[in-house]
Amino acid sequence: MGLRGTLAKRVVQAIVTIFIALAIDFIFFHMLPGDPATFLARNPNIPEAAQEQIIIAFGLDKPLPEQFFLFIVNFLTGNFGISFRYQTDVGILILHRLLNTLLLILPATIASIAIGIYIGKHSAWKRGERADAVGLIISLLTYSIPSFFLSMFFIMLFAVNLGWFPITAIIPNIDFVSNPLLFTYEIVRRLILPWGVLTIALIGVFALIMRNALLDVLSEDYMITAKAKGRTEKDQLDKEAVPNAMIPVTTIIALNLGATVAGALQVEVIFSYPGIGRLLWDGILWRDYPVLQGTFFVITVVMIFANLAADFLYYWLDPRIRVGTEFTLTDEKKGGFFGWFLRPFTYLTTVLLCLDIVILLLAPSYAALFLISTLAILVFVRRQDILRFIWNRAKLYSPGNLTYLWTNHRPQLLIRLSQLVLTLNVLFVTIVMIVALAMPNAYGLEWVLSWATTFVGASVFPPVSSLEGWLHVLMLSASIIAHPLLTITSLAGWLYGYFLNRQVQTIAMVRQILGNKMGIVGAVTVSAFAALAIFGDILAPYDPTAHLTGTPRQPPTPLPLDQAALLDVSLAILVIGAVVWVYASYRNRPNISASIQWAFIGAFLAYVAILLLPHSLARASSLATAGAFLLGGIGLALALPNLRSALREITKSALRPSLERLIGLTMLTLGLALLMTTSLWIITGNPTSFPGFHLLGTDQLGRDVFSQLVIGVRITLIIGLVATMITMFIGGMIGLLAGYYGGIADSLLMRFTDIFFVIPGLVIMIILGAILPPSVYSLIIIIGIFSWPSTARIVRGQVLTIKERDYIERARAVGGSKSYIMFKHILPAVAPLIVANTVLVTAYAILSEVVLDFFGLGDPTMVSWGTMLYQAFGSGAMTGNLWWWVFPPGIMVVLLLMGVSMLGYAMDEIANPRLRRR
Amino acid sequence: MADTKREVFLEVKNLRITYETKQGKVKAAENVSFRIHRGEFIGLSGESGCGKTTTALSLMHLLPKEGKVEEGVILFKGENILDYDTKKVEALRWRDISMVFQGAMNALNPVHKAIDQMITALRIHEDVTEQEAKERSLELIKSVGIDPARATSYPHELSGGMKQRLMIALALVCHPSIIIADEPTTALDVMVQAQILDLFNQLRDRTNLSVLLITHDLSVLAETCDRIIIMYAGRIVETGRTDTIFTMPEHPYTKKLISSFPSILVDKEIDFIPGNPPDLINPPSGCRFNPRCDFAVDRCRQEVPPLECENGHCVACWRRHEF
Repeated sequence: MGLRGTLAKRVVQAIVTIFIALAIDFIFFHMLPGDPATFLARNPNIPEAAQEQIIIAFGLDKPLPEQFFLFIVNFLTGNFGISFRYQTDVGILILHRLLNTLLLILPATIASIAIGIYIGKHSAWKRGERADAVGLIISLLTYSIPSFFLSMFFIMLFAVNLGWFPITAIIPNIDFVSNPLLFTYEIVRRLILPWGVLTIALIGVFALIMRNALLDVLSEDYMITAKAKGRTEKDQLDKEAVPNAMIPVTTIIALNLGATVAGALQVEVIFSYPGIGRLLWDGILWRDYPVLQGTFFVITVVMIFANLAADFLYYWLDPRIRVGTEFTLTDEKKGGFFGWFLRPFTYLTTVLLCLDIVILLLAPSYAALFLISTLAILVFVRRQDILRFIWNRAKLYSPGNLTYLWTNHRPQLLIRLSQLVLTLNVLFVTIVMIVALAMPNAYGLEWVLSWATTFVGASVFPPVSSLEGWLHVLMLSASIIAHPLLTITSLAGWLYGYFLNRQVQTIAMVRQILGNKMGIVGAVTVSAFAALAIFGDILAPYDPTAHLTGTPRQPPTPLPLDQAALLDVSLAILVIGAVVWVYASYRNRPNISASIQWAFIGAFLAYVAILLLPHSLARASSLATAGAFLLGGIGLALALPNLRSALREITKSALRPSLERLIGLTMLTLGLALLMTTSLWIITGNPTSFPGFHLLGTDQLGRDVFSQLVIGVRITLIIGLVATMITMFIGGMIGLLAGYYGGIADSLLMRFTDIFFVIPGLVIMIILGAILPPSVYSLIIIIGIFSWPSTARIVRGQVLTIKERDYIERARAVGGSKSYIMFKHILPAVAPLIVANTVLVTAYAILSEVVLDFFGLGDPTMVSWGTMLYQAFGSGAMTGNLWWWVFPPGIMVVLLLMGVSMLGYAMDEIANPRLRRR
Repeated sequence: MADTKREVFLEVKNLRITYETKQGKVKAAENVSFRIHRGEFIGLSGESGCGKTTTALSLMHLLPKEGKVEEGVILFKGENILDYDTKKVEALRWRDISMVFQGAMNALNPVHKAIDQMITALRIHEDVTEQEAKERSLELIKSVGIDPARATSYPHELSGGMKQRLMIALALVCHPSIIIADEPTTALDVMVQAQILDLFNQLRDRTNLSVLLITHDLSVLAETCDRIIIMYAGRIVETGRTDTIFTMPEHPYTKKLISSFPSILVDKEIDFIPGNPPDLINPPSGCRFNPRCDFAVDRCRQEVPPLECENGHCVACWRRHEF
């Protein structure tokens, strides 16, 4: 396939993507509860005649397939309907806004790509040196700041306080033709802040892309040739390395243009700039569905064209594709995954299932009977396979095998038993739930809810039941095996066994992370936030949702003099300790042994645990108490074994040269301990001893900002983690299957991820969030479902290289089945990469959560940082200069994201074979 | 052939190179000394990881960041190039000493046309017009046996053998005094290998070029080189004229190396050297070959044997004359 063929394929793909976007658009807005005609047309704001017109134009009275056809025709001809709010044609409305948005996006994107590439280039060239560290920190910082928060920050700093620029960026009402100079001046003056914010917000993404691509190129042989040729350093970089790196970078930048759109949306909202983003925001606020539908479509189409343009640029840049010759990205083999379509068993299953569906539609009362008989037939047909499968599993638990494991491989025994318990448990849960759901009177729902809440530790299973007789006894006895506690225990046992099995590898990885400076900072930050979540109950002085705990919009109460002095003293000790330590490093003093350092750290943790325990007990918070015991346990486990050898070394004269370091370490530890003690005193003591004390003031309803801040971390972490788990599961499985089976399955899955890459994830999330009822579950599902494509890509790429290795060939030759090879040989090999990617995905999930919350799509009953900022923005906190309400949540978001992405980056550096040093 | 009275281009004296690693210092080359005369082809051979490539890279200041020349001198036309600053090194590279890399598949930049890479190399070092540079490059491309019409191709359009010949043309473009050829035939099939060796032989007959040929393929050395240097674990163990080394090797390692090389003509028993090359972080004391040597005595384990020369045949072995 030549160049022309490849490009033609891209164009066809783009057209297909447009149709898929249309389909998504259609489906989303038909997921809304109720009849689409009701919300699309029967709007009180629209006159009767117009409603009729919409119904006819969109054929809302016609059957679904016809509606879909009409919808496509309408959208492709630019007929997006009438806005509820503006009562004008949506197409024209969007066109005006689109031009404004382009005016905002284009200069900012170009500037940020230029700066980002410059930073990334120098970071990669000076890898591991100071310039690289600075470049990486700048990149990760700008990557971690949500652009809406940066906008708020800039407005408060430059517009409200300094008064240099106007607060909003509304286009001035000046005629360009009569006074072009003034017009341009006004535009630039109003747009400088939004441009600046967007540029800064995007630098990080582009810098990281360039750095990674260039690191790949720098390890190539032709770079040595370039050096040997006598090229200057600058020429080696600019004329040999960069042209090669630019090839992948153009595609990746195009794929990340979604970030540009997402950033622009937020900037436009804060600056009240009349662009697409503001339109989307207003659309959500007014639930103006025609506008949302149209906006989504237009953004998607623009992104598709941008990607197509990037593809053309890519082919122009890469001679390997430009100049003839066969070039395929993957070897697309026939057969594979879809081979099973041709087997008779599949036909049988398909026919039976179709029959079931027909029965379900015609005579629903017989459906259950038919479904069960389908299942029975299928089981009967495959009885031999099923029996063999069970027999093979059962053999693992034969006494001989178990005694062998007991003597030789105990962790494996733990895993085996946990798996057995878990299998039985899941089986019984399924049976119990099916039986319960088959009962009348919402009996099943009660059981399901009870199981789920017990699983997270909030109630007791089984529920108090209204059932009587033998069935009751049966259910109760079954529920013992189906108990959620058993699920948790067996899962924990499995994980612990797995950890024991791979203890060496796990510890080695942890070592490597701690050996990386960025990794340490990241790990400490993330642990601090986790501690904040665990000890939230005792650290939040007020109920974060309680109104009027003080006067509304009350500024922070100044600290009493003694506390402020104590705080200053502890900070001073810390600073002096740090200075002494840095001085010792500067003088090249030998480092003190690890055991002394661990003893100090352990002692500090134990001290903090002792500090927190009485408060936890006083507040009767089981989570905080458990946390305090855990922290104390970790502290003692670290301190005690190291204490003896530490004492022995301290008395030795060999310590003399590193005396400065010892002093520094002692001061750092003491300072931190004092800081913790004072902070805890301030946080827990002051609200009771000084009524009306608010460390960080209050919001417009008189709620305590500090308490909201502390409790808000929980929701962010939970959503981030659960959504990440969903993402990793979907992305990992898809990447594994696509990479291993190749063929049609691979092409299909990759085209599918392509589409998700092109359609900006955040826009889809925002629109879906506006359609679904606002709740934590919606957020988790939305974020989880739309963040997996990059994971799938990375895993697939790695699987593709691993499956060609000789040992996989060997496993195949010995007769290993596909699933065996995939899960026993390939999965462990890609596991480190998946783990590293998990952390980066978590950062993305957290960022998405905060932005969705900020768009008012979060759970209104939950306290979260995004929601705090949403409310602050909505009630004029920026113009009122209520910094204590705006800055803290934003800074928390930035710190958490910084920590997570630093940890992820350090892990990526360790796990990603492409980044390993040669 | 080796006329010692000819002009000495390059002299390496007591070179010691180490690599800084997390496990400790790797002593990659120690006490390495040799000379390259004008027009001479020198072969450098030994097992993988014995310091061949390290020595060669140091001649052009191309050692990776972790590598460091601890002591020694590299005299090129009388000047110690180890003292050169960046500017002078950049000027030296390719104009005076150039290099043909192993696996030319990846040694050419995929985004530049073949001839453009030659033109840039030429114009970095010489003040010539684009036109002149192009003509000279085309001439060279013709002389290595490539159709000039293919000169404007990108590297991916050329076969492995063509790329390697282009690489040689590229190395010749500035008329350097010395070319270092690092495993120039390793990744190629036998027919292409023969073409490349033929090319080297033509070069020897027609020019004054000196070549330092690094390979572990002894047949390649026998085919092309005037003198041979055998290295083991970072040290030179034997040097001498090609025919001497092949007919009368004196160091036990060289003997083993030669007898472990299979031959298609003679049905001989293939010998091998038991054990592995030593750990270069903590090399064995005395002669580094002693743990694997059949003839080692106590002295070999304690004292380092010096490289002693008789009639231009130098051997580092205590028991040189005993067998």
